Amino acid sequence: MAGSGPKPDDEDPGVGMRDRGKPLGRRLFLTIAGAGAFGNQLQGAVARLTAPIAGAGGGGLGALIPGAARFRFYTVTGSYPLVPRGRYRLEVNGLVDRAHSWTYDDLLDAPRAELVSPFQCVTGWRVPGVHWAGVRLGDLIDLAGPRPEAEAVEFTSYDGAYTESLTLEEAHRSDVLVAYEMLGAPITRQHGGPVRLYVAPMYGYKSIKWLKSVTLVRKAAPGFWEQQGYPVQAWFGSYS
Amino acid sequence: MRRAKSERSGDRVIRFDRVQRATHWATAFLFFVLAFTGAVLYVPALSGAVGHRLVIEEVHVFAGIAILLPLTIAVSGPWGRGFRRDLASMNRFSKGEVAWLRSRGKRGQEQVGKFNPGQKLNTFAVGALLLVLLATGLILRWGNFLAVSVRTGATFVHDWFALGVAVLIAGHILMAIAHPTALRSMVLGWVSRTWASRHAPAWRVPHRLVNEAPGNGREGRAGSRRGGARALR
Repeated sequence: MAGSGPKPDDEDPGVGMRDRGKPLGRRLFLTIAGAGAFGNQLQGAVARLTAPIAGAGGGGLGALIPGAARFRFYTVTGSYPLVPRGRYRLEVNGLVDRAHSWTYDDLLDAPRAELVSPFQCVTGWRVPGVHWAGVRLGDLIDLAGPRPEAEAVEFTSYDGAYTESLTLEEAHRSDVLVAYEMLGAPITRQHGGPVRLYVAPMYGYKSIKWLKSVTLVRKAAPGFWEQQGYPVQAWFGSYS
Repeated sequence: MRRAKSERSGDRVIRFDRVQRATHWATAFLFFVLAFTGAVLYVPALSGAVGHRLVIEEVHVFAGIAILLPLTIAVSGPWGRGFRRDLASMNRFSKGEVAWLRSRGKRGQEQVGKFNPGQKLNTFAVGALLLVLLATGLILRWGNFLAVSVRTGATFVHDWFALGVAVLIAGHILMAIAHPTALRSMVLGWVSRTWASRHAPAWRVPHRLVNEAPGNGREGRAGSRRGGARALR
């Protein structure tokens, strides 16, 4: 942060104060710029201090404190889609032998998988230690009987805009869930409920919200955020 | 009416020339765009109510890149003489000004010039905060090649500094409302000589009649060169 105060104007030798007094302005400027360069060191402390009042769910005033480990709610359309649990359907289709439409209760009855894992956004915010529960995506795919030519999986969202994809191999990882619980409660509308995807080892944009369909294909088309320039391969720590 | 007449007859002092006023209002407009879009991106309730995250994000990034442009353009040409002179006068603090700061305006009033020590500090604080916000904002938008820890840190600093600049600007607006004459000078450019001698006694304004001068600092030319420049320090 190489900042410096305003420079004396060479064309104007008459600035009386230039040679007198303390350069407090420049000192303040450099102090703040320095705080900007190194202020990230305080993150851990702020997250610890705010943890009791912030609440990872992202609600409440405490969660507005910068640096509190909390979710930020994104929606790329005009609002959050509202899908009542009773009317929720998850379509699994495409290159499969047994296309199936799952209700919310069907998913609850399916073998439950749980994990505790952080949510890391590609833009930099992070919520550590989030509890997730749902059905393994690989189980849903296997029950549908993928055909040999299927190599990737495409997802759509009830918001009508958000799309995502994984390779079939990635979709079979044990830490990829069709999630109906997060933070120990049913997933809220803002968080992408009633059902969203959770791809633990990848940046958050892969974890599509308001999951509507799982379609097996030969080759996946770029998803919504990938059309905005984000990579299809979104493993943590990687970008290209 | 009588007062207005006396002001019109020349007992006015230019506090902000046209370049400074245009810069102020362009920057203020961009600041409000940034504050609104920033709040929508940051406050969950607003994010949901407004939606359209990508559009809001683009507007925020565009305004953020643009916000330092008016100032940069204003001070970098021959039209920016008055502006540069004002800025150059803001860095140094005399003993009296330090005393004014320490006593929160109770002592050292006679040494207060065109800008009081609080205003001078505020200038540097807002400038530094905006610069850090610009740098971290660029990291957030285009820094995807950087390590996650760097981007997380940039998010953290950006959020805190945005809060900081919002507090300073809110204070600035409250002060402007509390001091309508000062606010008017940012709209019309001038203050009365009486106001200047009361609120800025060390601002030695030229004795020459001052009309709405072109925005090149020419109004400071009265008397000797040294005296004129001191007048606008």
